[in-house]
Amino acid sequence: VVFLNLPLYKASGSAAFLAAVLYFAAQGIFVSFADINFLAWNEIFCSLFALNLFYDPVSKIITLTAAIAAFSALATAKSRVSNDKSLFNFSNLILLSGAAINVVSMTRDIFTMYVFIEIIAVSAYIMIASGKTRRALAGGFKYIIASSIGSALMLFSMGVFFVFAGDTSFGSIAAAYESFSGNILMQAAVALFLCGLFVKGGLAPFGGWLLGAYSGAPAAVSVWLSGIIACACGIIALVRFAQFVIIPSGNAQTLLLIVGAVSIIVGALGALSASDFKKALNYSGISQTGYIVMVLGAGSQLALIAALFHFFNYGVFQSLLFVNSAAVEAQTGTVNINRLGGLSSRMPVTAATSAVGFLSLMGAPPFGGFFSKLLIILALWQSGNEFFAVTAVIGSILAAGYFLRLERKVFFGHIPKRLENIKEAGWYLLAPSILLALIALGSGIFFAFMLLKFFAPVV
Amino acid sequence: LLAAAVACSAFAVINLGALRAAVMLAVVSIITSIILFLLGAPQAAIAELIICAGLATVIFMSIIGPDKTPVSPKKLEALKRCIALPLFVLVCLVSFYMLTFDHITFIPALEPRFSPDSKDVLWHFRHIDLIGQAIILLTGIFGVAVLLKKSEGEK
Repeated sequence: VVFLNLPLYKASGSAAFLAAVLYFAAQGIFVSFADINFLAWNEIFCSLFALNLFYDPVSKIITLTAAIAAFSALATAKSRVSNDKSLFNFSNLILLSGAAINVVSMTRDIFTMYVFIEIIAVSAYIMIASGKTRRALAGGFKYIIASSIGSALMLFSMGVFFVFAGDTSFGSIAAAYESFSGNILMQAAVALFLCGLFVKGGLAPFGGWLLGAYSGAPAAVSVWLSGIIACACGIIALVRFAQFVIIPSGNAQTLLLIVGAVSIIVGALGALSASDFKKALNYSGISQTGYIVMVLGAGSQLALIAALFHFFNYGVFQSLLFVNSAAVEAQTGTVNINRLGGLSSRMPVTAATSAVGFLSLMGAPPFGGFFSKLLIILALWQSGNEFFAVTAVIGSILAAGYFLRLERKVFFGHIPKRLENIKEAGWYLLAPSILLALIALGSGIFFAFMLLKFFAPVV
Repeated sequence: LLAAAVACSAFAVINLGALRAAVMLAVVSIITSIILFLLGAPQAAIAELIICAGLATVIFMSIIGPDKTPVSPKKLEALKRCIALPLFVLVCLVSFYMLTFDHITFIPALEPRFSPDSKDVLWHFRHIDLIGQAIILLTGIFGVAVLLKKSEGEK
């Protein structure tokens, strides 16, 4: 970022874009293919700068998902952003937040995690507000307020953890939590920390601000924010916290289960009633992150695998659907579903890939979403939370409802006169949607391979 | 001092001018650094003073420039900003009252695990956090430049 801000400024929109594409390509390739080399490099790098970072299978999944979402967002930006300077800003911000996501996924220290979550949040509200329209600025402002409340809750809890544990590493906090589990202050700190993460992740009782923030954002920003940032701020930290700290306890798990279930239902009902394609996707995002939170409450090893698999699938189908919504917006100029219809005859690729995205989202076989939801239900049932397993199924049925409604309103039915002459979107929007649709399909068909290579090593 | 810091931050939020808000923010930082110094953390106090009161204020001022925000002649506009003030004062009073509680019953007496020397902690255990803070600062500057600096042809 510093380098690209130097005298190269005049020609740097494309340069920054290229840098971001190369960076995320390298990240994706390293993560998928060259485990051994990457681990060795990581060790050398960390010992050189005395960094306490650990690259483990969980980081692998998170960095891979981030790379996929970043690619889609960059392609969308290239297609939808005409101004060189905006492209420059967006590429830099995506690099900054991408780097911060990587650190969040690799750290074993709660304070380090907090610092890098703040980097993600700061770059997110710059991205949202960078449109500089009234709506964008209001959205950015809402994001700052909500995010600061989350930060305050987390900071308070970290102070308490530090008092009890003596340092801020997950190991010490877990030990302190076990030995002081009856202490009311410690219980309150864990609950407040979780609430801080819920606010940051935009879960149901805490997440209304997210909708205003995201629907005002430009298309490319929506892809990146909804695909990974919302998850990165709350859910990744939650996965780590659940993995290292709260597994043996009871109260925190109940909190996770309830908040997850409420998010699933409220998000799905919101998506059913939304009249705006992007807003419906945002609501659906709340519902889908609810699944990850709820299954973390089951507390078993299967639950962790299920949560991470759903996280991966969520990153894929959410990015895919937002790229589709960007394509619809680019060609028709609106995302209001009452003014759309019959687009499947004019935009066949967008229509087909969005169907793939929605089918994966609602958990239809053979797409990736089916297997992650299956694992979620199994994990909940196994741990004796039958009621929440049923909630997961109900959430899926509601997802089928809003999928059918959106498909019918946007891609099927009668085409309005105004839209009769529209064409398919450009390649910068088609390529990522085809790629993401193939990943959604592939992660289902090659489920056994994915499970063995990426998800089973987690536990 | 704590009350003064809270009052100044409330004033920074209510204030109409961006420049005056930035100055108030600097005052809050100065008071915080005095508090840190009195609590026996001189290094943290100096860091707070240099970064928050000094560097951040300089960045804000250089970007905002001379304040041209017109002070609204309407009293209503100014009053609107104070709507939440009674609630804020109430929360502050409750918080200050809670400061007088005895916390010893909740918090166990534990030995600190690290040496209390903050230099040691910063340079030997907290490398990554330092880098993180530097990146936050850079991101913030980048954001201020993106959002507040007017580009050509922009109103």
